[in-house]
Amino acid sequence: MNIRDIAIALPAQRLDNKTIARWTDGDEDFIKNKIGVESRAFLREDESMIDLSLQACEKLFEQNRDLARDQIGLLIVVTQNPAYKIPHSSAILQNKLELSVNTACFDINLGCSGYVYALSVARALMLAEKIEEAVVVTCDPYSKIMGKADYETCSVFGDAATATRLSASRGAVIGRMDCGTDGAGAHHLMAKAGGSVTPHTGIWHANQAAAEQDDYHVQMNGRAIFNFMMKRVPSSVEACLQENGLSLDNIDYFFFHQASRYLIENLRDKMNLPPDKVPIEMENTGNTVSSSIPILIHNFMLSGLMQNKICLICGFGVGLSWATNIIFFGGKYDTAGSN
Amino acid sequence: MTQQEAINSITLALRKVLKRDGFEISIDTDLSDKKILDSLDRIVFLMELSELTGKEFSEDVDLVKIGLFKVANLADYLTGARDINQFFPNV
Repeated sequence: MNIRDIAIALPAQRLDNKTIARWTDGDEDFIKNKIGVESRAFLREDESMIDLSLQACEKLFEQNRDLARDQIGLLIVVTQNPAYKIPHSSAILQNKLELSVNTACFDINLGCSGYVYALSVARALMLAEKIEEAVVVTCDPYSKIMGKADYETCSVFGDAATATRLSASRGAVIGRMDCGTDGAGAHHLMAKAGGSVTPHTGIWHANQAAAEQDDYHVQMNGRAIFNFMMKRVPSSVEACLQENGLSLDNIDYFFFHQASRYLIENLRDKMNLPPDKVPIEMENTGNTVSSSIPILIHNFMLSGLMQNKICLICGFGVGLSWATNIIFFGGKYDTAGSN
Repeated sequence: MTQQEAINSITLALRKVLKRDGFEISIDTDLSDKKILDSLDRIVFLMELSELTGKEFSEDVDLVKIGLFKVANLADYLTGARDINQFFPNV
């Protein structure tokens, strides 16, 4: 099961660091030089993740004229900020995209590790059910759950959507995944209210005072996330390489989740990886959660940099969860009918 | 660990994070207030210090708020003279 193509969509509304600094009483230079973000795009109040996901999918169909909508056997949406609490966003998207009613649709509730997980889930289901074509969508608009005055999150995150075409017959080959979870750290990146612990409403909560507004906002303990990443990512990379029979030297690019420039630079230095193999591209997007890895891959594919390349992808964050995999790209790795 | 050894470790960790010499600290320096370390540098500084000394820093406590980035307080914590819960918010 292989990656054929990726399309991305960013909201039209862009916000510069000056605006974020004004909202949060933050430091413009710090956001640009340390976090690595110059501007980011946020959905407008009247736009939803469905609108943005739809844009990414329509672009994917434009880019892939050979792909008919009724060929799609599987649609996976990776999000923790769905359009509705019920139903799953992939069902809404299936209808809007006019996909076949026989399309298997479900959402994956994961954050920054979600794309890596989704590729493996799609791969397994395509193999098991003999599905020829699948689409994996990522869209996790944090603008909908961030507090406007929260420097820790507003300075880092941006909204985006991506759509990845997976084909059984050809494309970049997905390897074997290493993954894990440390739920003991779940509270370090959390939006507390709105679930069944602190519901908006319900039989027993109809007359209850609303939760504190801050509890509906995502809150992040940056130091805990940093420590988690520095501890888990190097060992996951090592395990993934071993699982795929590779060594660090075999990898052309390390596509790490674009959490922040500072974070990736420290990870890169700790792992003694050459800077030219560890791209950092988030100046115009910010940290786009599960979309950051497919955006990177898309940009490299577009620049023609992926021919005969072996890439490692690694997502980490909410959960605390992590996942690492290998993608064999183009040319000699594009083995039609493999897997 | 003596206070001097603690200060030596603090200096070494600072050098690793800032990737330069030429900063001056004394027992009274507050690494956060004096803007020697910004919020991201503080994270890496604590990681380096932890590796150098074997001391863990709680992730559930706001260490700036309790004044842990004052060199005297940090040295107290590293030498074991005071535990985290013996620091009080800087108000």
